[in-house]
Amino acid sequence: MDPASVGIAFIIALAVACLIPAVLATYLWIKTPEGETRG
Amino acid sequence: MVELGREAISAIVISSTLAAYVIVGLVASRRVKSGEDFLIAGGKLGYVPLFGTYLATYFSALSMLGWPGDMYAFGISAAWIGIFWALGAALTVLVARKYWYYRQLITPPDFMTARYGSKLLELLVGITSFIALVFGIVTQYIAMGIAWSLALGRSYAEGILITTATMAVIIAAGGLVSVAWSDVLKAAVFLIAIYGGAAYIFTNAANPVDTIKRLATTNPSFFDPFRVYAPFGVAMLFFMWTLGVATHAQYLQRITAGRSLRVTFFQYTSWYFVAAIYVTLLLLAMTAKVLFPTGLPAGWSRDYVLPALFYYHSPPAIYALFLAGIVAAALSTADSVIQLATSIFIKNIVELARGRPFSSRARLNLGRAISFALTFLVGAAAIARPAAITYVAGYAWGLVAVGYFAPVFFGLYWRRASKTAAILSVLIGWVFFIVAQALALAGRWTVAISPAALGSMAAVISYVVIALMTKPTPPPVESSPR
Repeated sequence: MDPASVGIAFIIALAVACLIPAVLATYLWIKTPEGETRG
Repeated sequence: MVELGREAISAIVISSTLAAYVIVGLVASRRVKSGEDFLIAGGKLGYVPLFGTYLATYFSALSMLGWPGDMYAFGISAAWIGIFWALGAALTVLVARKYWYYRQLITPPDFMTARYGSKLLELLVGITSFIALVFGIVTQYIAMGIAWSLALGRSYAEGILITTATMAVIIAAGGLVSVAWSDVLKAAVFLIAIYGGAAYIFTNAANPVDTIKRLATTNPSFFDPFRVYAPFGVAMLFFMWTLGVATHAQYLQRITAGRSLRVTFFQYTSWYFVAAIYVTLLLLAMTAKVLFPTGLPAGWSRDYVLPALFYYHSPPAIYALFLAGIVAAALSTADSVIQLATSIFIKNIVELARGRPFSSRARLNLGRAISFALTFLVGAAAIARPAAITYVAGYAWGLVAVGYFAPVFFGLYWRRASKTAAILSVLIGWVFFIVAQALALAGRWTVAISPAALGSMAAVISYVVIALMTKPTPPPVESSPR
């Protein structure tokens, strides 16, 4: 692979890795009922 | 119209952001009525403050200075670490799912008594996390002092004093409540600084697509993914950074600070912003490599590659904004850590030694006094910069990483979790880490694995082995889902 493609692949990998916690949290946030409070 | 000089613009931008943080912190502190409000925001933080304080605490000056510096010097192989940080945050989300059922906890070391019934482990983890947090935070103070002197051409000590005073007022006024609300503003400042600054550079100095093409021909080794770490070294980053981030005390604290489980999960959606920040920082480091191909101008060290980029390639207002962003990132991590260290000191050291808790009112007053003193004490250390600081700071991340992951993660997710495994794994992890780190600081550690990664690995392995050989410790009844 030419260096530029490796660079772009790496940028995509970095972005995808960062989206894992974001997407997982969004899923759990939507799925969780409102009633789970501290009390 | 009067032309303002570079320093005057920086002075206006940075002073006004600092003043705004203090105002927000003071306004928010009016909600603080009890010791529990001070220590854990009464467990009542809503969407905005929890999202803001998680993002602002996670994102520190390290990400704006040291990390881009490494990427500038070593190319994309230095960016691996960002991937492992992100995986750590994904694990934090899973930890939050279960840790939430311990939401009555005030501090992270409380978990050790709640889950394992071990006050010994609570004290051990409490003392070491207090020391590690306090020493580890000195680097953020140093970044604030340097950003101040770069921006205004004034003294480093003055910068530390002013940012320290800002922080002391915010924390002492309202503990976690004030920290969280002022963090919302700090996060906004560094987001604007990074996105806005990058937008300027990418449109006026160098377009990222051209940058990648140019670097690929002029400097192909920049794109070697294993230039710094061999594949084995990359895998080892998991133990240090993924496990270190996953259960770091500052995130455990923010799980129990949320008003509801939904709010707690919502804070991690800030990773959409982090994704954009990290890609931007990598592109900025590449841009710097193209614009300063043979090294930075005299007087700029590698850690200050991005400030140098903005200094030479953007107008003074953008440069000032970027430095305000560095101060915001450093301040928001530092204040959170001082607040957490204060809470741990009161709850897991003094109250544990005393054998009974203080009244709510006494906790509030103590929290104010101790956080105030601690903020300035660390400030004084940052000004003096004694050699011992560097030495102990070397241990800071590792002690926290090793002390929490195995007991917390297995304690939440594994039926065989046991008290003996928890205590021994922490001690074994620390022994491995401390010995390796001492050798490393003496320049005698030549193994391709960092001491913290080794300690973290030793803790995980020893936990599993010992838990399989000992009687499981059942979780407390109130920790089961309601």
